[in-house]
Amino acid sequence: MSNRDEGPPFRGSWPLLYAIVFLNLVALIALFTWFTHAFE
Amino acid sequence: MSGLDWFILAAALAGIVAYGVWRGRGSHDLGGYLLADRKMRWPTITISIMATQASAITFLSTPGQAYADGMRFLQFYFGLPLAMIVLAATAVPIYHRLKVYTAYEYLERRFDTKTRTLAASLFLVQRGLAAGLTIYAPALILSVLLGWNLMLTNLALGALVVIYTASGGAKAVGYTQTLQMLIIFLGFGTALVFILNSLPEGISLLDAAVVAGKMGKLNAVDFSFDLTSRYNFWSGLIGGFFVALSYFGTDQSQVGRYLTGRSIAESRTGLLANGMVKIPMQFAILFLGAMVFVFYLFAAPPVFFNPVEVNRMRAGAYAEEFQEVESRYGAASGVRQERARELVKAHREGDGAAEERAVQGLREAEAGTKVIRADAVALIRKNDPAAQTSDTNYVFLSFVLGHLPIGIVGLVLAAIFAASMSSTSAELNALSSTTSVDFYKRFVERVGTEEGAAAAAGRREVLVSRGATIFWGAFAIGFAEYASRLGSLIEAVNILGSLVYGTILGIFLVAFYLKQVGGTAVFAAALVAEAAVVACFLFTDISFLWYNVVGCLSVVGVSLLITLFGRETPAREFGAL
Repeated sequence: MSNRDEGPPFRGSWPLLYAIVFLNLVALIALFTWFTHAFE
Repeated sequence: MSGLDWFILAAALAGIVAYGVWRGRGSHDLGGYLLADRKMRWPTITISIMATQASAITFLSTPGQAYADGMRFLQFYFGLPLAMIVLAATAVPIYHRLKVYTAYEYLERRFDTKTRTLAASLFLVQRGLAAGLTIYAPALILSVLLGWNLMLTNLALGALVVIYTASGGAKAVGYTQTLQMLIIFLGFGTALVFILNSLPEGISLLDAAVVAGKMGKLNAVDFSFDLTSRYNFWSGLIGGFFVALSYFGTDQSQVGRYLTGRSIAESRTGLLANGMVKIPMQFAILFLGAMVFVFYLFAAPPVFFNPVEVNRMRAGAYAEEFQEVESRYGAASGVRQERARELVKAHREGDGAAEERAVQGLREAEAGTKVIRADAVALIRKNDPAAQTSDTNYVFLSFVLGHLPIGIVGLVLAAIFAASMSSTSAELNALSSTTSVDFYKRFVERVGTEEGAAAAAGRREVLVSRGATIFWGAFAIGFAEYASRLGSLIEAVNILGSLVYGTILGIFLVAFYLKQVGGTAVFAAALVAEAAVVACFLFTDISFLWYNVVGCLSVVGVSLLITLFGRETPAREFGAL
């Protein structure tokens, strides 16, 4: 097991990966909000 | 159930157990047995984390919740991705660098023995009971399906999990979870396709979505702020964040999954990937439940989805009254079906006024069926005050058995069993880890200094861990006997978790972020917080998601007050951020 604080297993940095997860959440909430109102 | 269904189910169960025993060979010390030698890659970790969280309860109860209450339960998971980011950035590096086996081991290095023991004890009680519910859910399927004795069914299912978990430890758990998730996706993906194909001719997916939406079943997001509302955006984002932070950051059944990572990067990525796929997965399961609702709008549903209770009523003292209720319900369902067709027609024609009238008519018809269902439930209660009057958990199962084709029934049941086994195995592995590391190794074990003593101790520790797995398996099976008296299972598990998660999370947050707070202060604060959470549960109507916030903030606040105004011994800074 490595304890070095290495980068993600693919391209990019950790802050970028955190931002992608956060933006994915925002996009999902926006999508489901639209979904709720579209069929309300 | 046909011979083919039985064959598919039996083959899946036998395959899982055999695969687990085979992949789990060769663990001769605690690192191998409890943490799979810390060699797992991130995709395996992600699957393992998802499989641990998504139990059979998820797949049985969630579609039923969507059927009865719509999709608002989805919001419970909105805080999860944020928690994944926080844990990936903070907890994962600490756990890895300290090379701990359990999350609670870290607490002794940071605070003291009593704080570690308190957190480990709370975990053992909560997770031991939750493991009982995880076994109970699929056991219920078999008992309803075949009229088997529930106790023996619990015993058989629990024993299958214990065989490969006790035999192979974390390796067996991790590798079988990959196979189990494959079966789960296959089973539920196929079920969704068949549900959509089972809609009446002329009713498209869009028509079904329109009807479900007008009936309030596609209410995935609700921004209204109400502390007593169980699921809305705010309780999901804030309360769900605290639940996820506590569950994934301090519950050994999850911590144990990402501690198997071969590096910090692999563990972090495993958590973050879970944060991206969890919400879409829950959406799919809830949508499946909403579609089952639409299916039953066009095909008369039973007045009560638990066939055992229905059969008891038909053969009991109130048989005539119940038959009359069933007859009324059938007629009301027919009216509801007509109203649903009128709505589809009006929507297709784009006639806004007609659509509005049709919606109103359908809602009135739905309200009428609900009144008759309430009459049926009242009769069931009158017949037997101890009878189960919640049938949420039977909705999806009832649909599967009654309307899916031969072979697919076996596949869906295999998926439900796989889900149960994946969660139970991780829970038993975590309970075993905590028992052997936080209690046996900490308080009982004495390792000599002679040659070979360490190796002998390692073998003994594996033996103790295997024994602990078997013990907790037996405990969970025992508790499963009481699970039938609870309401909706998924909520029971979440409520149970919320009673202790907030306190445990508070202890860990203080450990990570408040260097000035020491062991005695956090220990006293944890006791106060737990009392506050129990008081909220007993004496208020606050939704259970907020218990996590109450428990966590109480630990943080009270420990800070004690540190500021008391004579706390200097805190150890080891392992704090």
